[in-house]
Amino acid sequence: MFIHNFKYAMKTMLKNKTAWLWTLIFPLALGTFMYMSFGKMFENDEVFKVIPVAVVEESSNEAFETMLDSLSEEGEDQMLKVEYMTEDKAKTALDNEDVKGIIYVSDDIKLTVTESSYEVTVLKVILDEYKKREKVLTDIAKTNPSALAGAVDDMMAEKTFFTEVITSEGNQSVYTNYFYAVFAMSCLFASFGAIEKIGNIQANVSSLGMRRCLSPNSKAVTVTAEFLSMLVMQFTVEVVSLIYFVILGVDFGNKYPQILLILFCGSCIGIALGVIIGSISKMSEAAKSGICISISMALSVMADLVASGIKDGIEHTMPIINRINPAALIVDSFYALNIYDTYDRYIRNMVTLGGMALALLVISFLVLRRNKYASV
Amino acid sequence: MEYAIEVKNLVKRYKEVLALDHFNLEIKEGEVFGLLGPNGSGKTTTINCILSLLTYDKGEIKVFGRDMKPDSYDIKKEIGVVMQNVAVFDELTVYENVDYFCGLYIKDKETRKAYVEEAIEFVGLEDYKKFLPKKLSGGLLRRLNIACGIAHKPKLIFFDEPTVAVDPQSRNKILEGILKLNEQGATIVYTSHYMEEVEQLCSRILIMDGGKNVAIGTKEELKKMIKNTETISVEVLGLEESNIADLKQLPHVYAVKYDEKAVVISCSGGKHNIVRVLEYFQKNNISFGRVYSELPTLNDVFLEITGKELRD
Repeated sequence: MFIHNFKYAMKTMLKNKTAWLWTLIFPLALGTFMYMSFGKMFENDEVFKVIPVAVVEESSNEAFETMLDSLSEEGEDQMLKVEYMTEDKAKTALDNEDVKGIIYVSDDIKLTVTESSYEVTVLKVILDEYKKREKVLTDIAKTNPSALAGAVDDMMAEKTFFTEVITSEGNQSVYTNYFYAVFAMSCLFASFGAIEKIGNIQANVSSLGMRRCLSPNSKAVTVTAEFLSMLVMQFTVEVVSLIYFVILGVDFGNKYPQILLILFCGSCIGIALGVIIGSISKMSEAAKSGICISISMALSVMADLVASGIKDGIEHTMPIINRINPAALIVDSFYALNIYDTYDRYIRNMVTLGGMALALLVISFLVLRRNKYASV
Repeated sequence: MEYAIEVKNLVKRYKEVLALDHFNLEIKEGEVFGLLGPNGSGKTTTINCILSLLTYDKGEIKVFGRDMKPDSYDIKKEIGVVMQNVAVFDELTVYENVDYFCGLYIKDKETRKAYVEEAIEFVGLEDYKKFLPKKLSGGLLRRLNIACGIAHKPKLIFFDEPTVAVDPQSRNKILEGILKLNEQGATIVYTSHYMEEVEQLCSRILIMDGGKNVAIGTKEELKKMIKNTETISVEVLGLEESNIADLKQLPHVYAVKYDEKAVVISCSGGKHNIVRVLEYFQKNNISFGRVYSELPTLNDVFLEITGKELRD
């Protein structure tokens, strides 16, 4: 009986071309748009270009000029290309975009720029860092002059407290995070199809559900067959999306079996979400779809689909949300796979996703197994 | 004779609305039983309670002598339902739809295949096997709905208003099919508010109103329950009050209505009532047009018992 139900569950799904086509097109289209938007940034991520900057010396500041000389020394670590000039020439150079900014050197260091850009941000960071260090030394000189020599020595030694260690062979690009979020959203959108499928096995929701309830079949068999058919379809969509993104050139690292497990668990949780929303009440399918869209969008936004930093903000304020948000868990699983050399965090996320999917399905089944209704 | 269905003191409420009020019903195996009543009288609620789809507040329901419960799969195997609303998969063809629903009852592939073919032939959809439901007309869709409900050869079949919005050709095909299923041994429960269909099909009829059993019996028995045995209509102009009074005095006439164009005379019992009426017109030199004589219908039965039209 299970095979009969499964066979027809697959058939109805495959023949509903509109539904599965949109399920497939959504991640592919979103991924394509993202790739087109981030393409340049991917390149910028790999090659750092030296920033041309004009320096107008209003008064002498030996310490600052030493730092500028250091940053403009030719070689692998060169960050700036410094040209000393008069204010007028500097302004002309800035207008002609020959330089990215003008640094006015005096007791108070100032920066003039005309537009916001990656290079401008770097210049601002350099100046801010200089000002911070200058203030530290000034404060030490005022409060503890005897420690000043040691502090200067420490700064000159440019102590590094962090050492870059490559722990994983995965891609650590911030832009790839958006593709993780696409997967998360795509998985959660599986809930829409699940609502319709579950409606079709409930006598108080549809005529089809009524007819199926009258048959000598256990609900467990029907629900399991429907769930598995949806899982096969959704997982296939995710795998096709993965292959497409890899062809586009998005680097997900090389841990493909683990990535497939993420997509599998993600598909499970998305469908389980739809199953429980579909089974909870006698609301119309449109109302249930509305709930699904709201939940999926909210969870995806919280997992950084729309803008980077939201998930991080939640991590600092209410980390529990990130521990139970399926979209965040999916994104974090990719992240953990590519950042960490151990699988602790990845496994924890997989167990949480799998556990939540199972819990949702068990609750749904307990609701759905009832065959008798107050009204139909 | 065994009972296919026994319902005792069934009470069903939808919040404040009493849908079934201590309803009783007994249907014998092999009957074509009609549940007749206006919309909202409780016909579908009765069926859904019998099928254990609906919870009910009080009462007892037995199907083939056994208590009917949601997990009574052994009983469900013997039941087929043709619902008021068409319940098929839009994505599956005619053949696949019938095969799917038949497969929920019949495990053996070969048997199932034979049953599916038989059901499709039974409803006359042989030429539409590969058609999707959206390509079928309303009548053909209803026939598909029937095929899905009967393909597994159930012993008890519920037809809930199967001819609503169906063209005359399909309607006749459906009604003929129902009688054929009964001849093959199935017990039929047929609900409708079309009294002509119920009269044509059913060996026994239960008239429902307000969730109550109003009357039960064969159509002849039901018609005997009421005063009216014949209604005579005569097209006549210029009839006077004295004529109407005279007509009321004729033997077996108990009511006379006149609307300036025709007079309607209700008779209770007796023979040759129409002859006496026409003799009166001839004797009094009253010219008349067309004359009709109608035997009472189930609508008359319903009207007389409940005071309202069946199709209200």
